[in-house]
Amino acid sequence: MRQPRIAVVLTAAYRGAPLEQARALAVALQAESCATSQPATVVLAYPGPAGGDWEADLPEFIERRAIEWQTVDANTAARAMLYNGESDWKPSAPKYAIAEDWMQQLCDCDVWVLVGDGLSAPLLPLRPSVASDAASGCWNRVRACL
Amino acid sequence: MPVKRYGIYLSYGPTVDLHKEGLGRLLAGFLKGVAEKRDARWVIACPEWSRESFLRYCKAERIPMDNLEVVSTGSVPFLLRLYLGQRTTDAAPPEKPAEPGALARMAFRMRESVERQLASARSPVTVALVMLGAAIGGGLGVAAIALRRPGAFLGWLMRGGVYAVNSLFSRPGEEPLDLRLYRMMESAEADRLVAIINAMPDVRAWYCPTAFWPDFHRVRGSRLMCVPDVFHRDFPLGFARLEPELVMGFQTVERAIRGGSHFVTYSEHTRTRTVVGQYGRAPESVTAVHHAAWDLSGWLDPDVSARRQLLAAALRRRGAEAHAEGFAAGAQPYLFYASQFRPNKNLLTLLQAYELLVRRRGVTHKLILTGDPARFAPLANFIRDRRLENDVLCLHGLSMQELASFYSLADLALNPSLSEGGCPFTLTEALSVDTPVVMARIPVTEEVVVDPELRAWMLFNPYDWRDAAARIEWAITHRDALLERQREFYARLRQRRWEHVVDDYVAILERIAEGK
Repeated sequence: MRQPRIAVVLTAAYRGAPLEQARALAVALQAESCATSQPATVVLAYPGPAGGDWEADLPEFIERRAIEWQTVDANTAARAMLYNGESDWKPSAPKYAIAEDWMQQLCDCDVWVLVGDGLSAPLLPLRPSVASDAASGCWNRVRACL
Repeated sequence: MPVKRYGIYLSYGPTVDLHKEGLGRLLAGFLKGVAEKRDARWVIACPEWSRESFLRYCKAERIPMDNLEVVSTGSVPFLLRLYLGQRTTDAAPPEKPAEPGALARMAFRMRESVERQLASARSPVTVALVMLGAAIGGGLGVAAIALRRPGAFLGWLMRGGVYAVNSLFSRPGEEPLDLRLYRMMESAEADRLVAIINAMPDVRAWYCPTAFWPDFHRVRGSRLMCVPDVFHRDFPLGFARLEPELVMGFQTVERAIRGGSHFVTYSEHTRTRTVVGQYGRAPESVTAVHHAAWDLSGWLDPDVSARRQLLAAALRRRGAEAHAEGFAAGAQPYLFYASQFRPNKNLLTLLQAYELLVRRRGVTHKLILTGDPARFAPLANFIRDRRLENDVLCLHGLSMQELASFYSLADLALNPSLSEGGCPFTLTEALSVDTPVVMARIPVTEEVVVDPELRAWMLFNPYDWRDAAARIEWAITHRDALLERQREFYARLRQRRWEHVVDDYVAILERIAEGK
């Protein structure tokens, strides 16, 4: 059985409190998932270079991934959604934001938990996403997506 | 007891070269397995345009034809014959520019004269006369070219004709007429092929080795379709950034999977995650059959220095002259990853790992890849931006002899791929020529590499380039120990031969034919 994967994704290269919130959230989600029959792998995705401070002291059991926020045009977005199994999806914006990790653009993860705001374009909904505004209810919303 | 007959449905396009298709190699393995089984005969049904190339391929691959028969559609459509003839002349090496003949020299002189007279003409009668003369002269010039280089002339005429006809008969934004005609031709050929197959009721069941041909489902008898993989679902953005035309191929595959009734895959992972999970097909209608082990040793020159020369020649061919000498002398260690460049291949993780090894860990190996970086911008950009041009060498279009030689002389074979339809070929290709291998820990590989200790030795987390670097570095420094362990493993893997694979397929075909 494939292990579920959860990405905690920062929308900007935050330092201080937002970064700490994301790190704490990643650890909390991993702990919550361990209490279920299907423990998840949690990935912390940060828009900055690999090996930066953001990785320091992060527990080993949290995977880390450097990303870069990019945009794709509406035609590419529509093709990506088609390949994703959603042939009826139609773009409503000229550009869409994607998290480039130079591997699978976080599509290896079943759900994206977004920390922060301020993306330059709507997020391309290749996976269900959850806002991290209320940490206490976050796990329930994540679990509903797994 | 009468010999049972089974069929294989092939519907390649007219210009496909089986040597360049991954499926071609699998088909060769399968047909060699078929040749070992004397208790059945196999019918290969294909369009006439594939017949000759298929037979040539069988000969090149040394596939015995004793229990194979080829049936085809009998003739090639006229328009296609015309196109293929023109393509042959296009593909011919460029001719040395010929000295203009007497007729051509006269035409050039006439052109100058006509231009001068038109520029200086004062009356419309003069202009009309000059233009009449020009038309006659132009016609003579074209005739001179057609007589001297008929192939080039025909090609020019056809391209011009196709362009003109496309402009006349296609609305803006619509598929060009030549493509529409091609699709109609393919469809008509599939109709004929299916009709021929349906007139062969003694064939117990038909097998289609790819999901690219949905027309296969119009065969009335028992059918089994192979679904090698559908990567788009897991790499939607990676594929969306490639050619938009790929959408059509993707939709064809989806139609084929949705229209079929019985399927085979190369792995349990593709069976459960893709065909059952993503396309909702009934689990009992899909069977996973693993490949046999590959063996490249038959392609190797026994003389090691000859293999090195082969490497050096391949490097020179791709403009890597500066490195050729080191490889020819056997003085340059290297890591090897043989693969096309596609979004699922995880090449940037490998490059990040390699950069760490070269820049910070003192590794002196080159990294040899077998794709074309010009067709995969992320890789080309990474190599340029990190100044790895002298360390990462990309060689594509290797022959089987070259491929076997590159594997055999590598210190280590690598495979970082995030997703494959079955266990990557790298595993047994490398071990068959005594080269150890380090690979990504992905489900299809873990189906074959089941020993936890061996997994720990040879597999890395494909989402973590630092883990990849650590595993590669460990394997370089513990090469002998890893190889010894993997030799034992390969000895077990090679117990499974292609005739065993054919047995598995025949069992499925029989089950379908019996309606079980």
